[in-house]
Amino acid sequence: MSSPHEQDLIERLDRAFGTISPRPAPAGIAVRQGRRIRARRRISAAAGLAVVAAGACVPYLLHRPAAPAATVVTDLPPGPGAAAGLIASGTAGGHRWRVVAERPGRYGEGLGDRCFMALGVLGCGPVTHPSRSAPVQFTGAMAGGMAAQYGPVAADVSYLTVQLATGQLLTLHPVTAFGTRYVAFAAARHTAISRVTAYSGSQELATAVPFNASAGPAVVNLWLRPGQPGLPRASRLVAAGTSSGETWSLTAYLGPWGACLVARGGDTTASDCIGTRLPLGTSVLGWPEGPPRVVSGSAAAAVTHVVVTLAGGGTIRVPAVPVGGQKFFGFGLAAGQRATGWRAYDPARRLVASGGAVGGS
Amino acid sequence: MTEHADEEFREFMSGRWPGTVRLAYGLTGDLGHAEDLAQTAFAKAYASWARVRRSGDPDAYLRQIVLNENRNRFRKRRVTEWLTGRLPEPDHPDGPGRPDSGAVHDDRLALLAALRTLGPRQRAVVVLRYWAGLTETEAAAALGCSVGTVKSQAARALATLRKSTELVEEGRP
Repeated sequence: MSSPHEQDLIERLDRAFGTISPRPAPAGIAVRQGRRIRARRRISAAAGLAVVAAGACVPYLLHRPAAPAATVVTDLPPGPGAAAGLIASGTAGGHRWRVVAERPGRYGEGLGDRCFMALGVLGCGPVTHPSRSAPVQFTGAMAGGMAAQYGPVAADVSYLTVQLATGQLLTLHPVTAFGTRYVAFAAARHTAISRVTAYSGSQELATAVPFNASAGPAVVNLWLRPGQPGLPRASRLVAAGTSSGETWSLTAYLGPWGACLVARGGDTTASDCIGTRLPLGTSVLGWPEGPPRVVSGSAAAAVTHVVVTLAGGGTIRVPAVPVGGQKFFGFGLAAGQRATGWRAYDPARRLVASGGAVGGS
Repeated sequence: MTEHADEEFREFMSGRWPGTVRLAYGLTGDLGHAEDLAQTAFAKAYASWARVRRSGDPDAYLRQIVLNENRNRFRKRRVTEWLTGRLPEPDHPDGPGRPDSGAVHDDRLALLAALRTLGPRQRAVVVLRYWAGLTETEAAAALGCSVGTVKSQAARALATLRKSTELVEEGRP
């Protein structure tokens, strides 16, 4: 039974949305796109089988960058008379793109938040300031067939180079918009980014090797000083299962980008990179929205397993899985299910760490 | 995929396209992005067409893909999307998608401005419950949360909308 206010909202939503007349259904495009998705899944499955056979080659094969695409990317700084806030524009694979910093406060964002129009999509969020250890704080955005990266640049950075997996090298010069220096670039969605290097004059400041997730924009996570070695590449399936009738999995990828976790469940793939250097202690790292929700956590070296207590009774025991010198654990929660707490134990069953509720909305 | 299944998918898509774009519009507030989102959702449905058919409820399956894809648009941590009443770029200025009546257009913008004050989860609850007509249980399953969460989010959303001056003062036709 709806209240009068609910009924009013139902009618007004119906009226407002009813006025929207979309373009004709692009069935042909969706079918072609769907065929490509299916083909990629088959390739991934074949790669998975090859991994089983190859054994030691697992880490590299699982995180192989996307195949180079025949895409030429241009990145142009704003010219005379450019719109206020324009950071960069260009073309990628024949499609035009632009990234604009919006005037602070235009969208009612809070203090410390900034809004950007990247690839025609508005994104707002807190601005993380660049520092000596991270000379650029990139944010990734995706729309249509393109992915963009943009962010504020430290004062001592005079330019950056971006090496794409296609072999193309972009040079980005910071642009000041509303008092902050930014850079931005975009490329076709599946073009992997091999490395980003920041320079002060002719001196190299730092280099980042981004994590090129299979879905979503690349994540520029950790910056390495010249000569500083990155983590060796390693990857491993941390946990997998079925919740709410959907299979899910959690895979950890370690490398020069740091540690990134990829949760797959249903039709969703969510990747998150850890912004601090390893090793990590024992804690729950997060749970992307589901269903199913895949909870991920890191564990100290001494931890062998984690016991999760579910709301309504019952426990789950999950192993702490070593991946390249760091341990991780994961478990899935069905729709509406939550955990009231977790406890991590060492081989002698001594309590090492514990935490509270997990998976609540 | 067989030619028959292909044909079946095209028929499914042509019937569901307007409704799916409208659902995506409710979630994103931008027609261009809504069409992109809907197109990607249909492409994913095509890629798993056998599974979609086997599910017994292809509409629910498609809706779930739209919700998941909407969540995936911004993946980097600490990034949120804001729904705004002021469209940053013209929304098909002279083309399809333009409402016929100024009053209805104003009402739509007023609704958008009011929805802007809601977080993504509350906005999704409003669209699923009050536009798509899902029950609390169905909305909870679609959003991967408890029925209690749907109830509380809906109550909070309604309270926010009730307080919204845009909805109360500007929205009346």
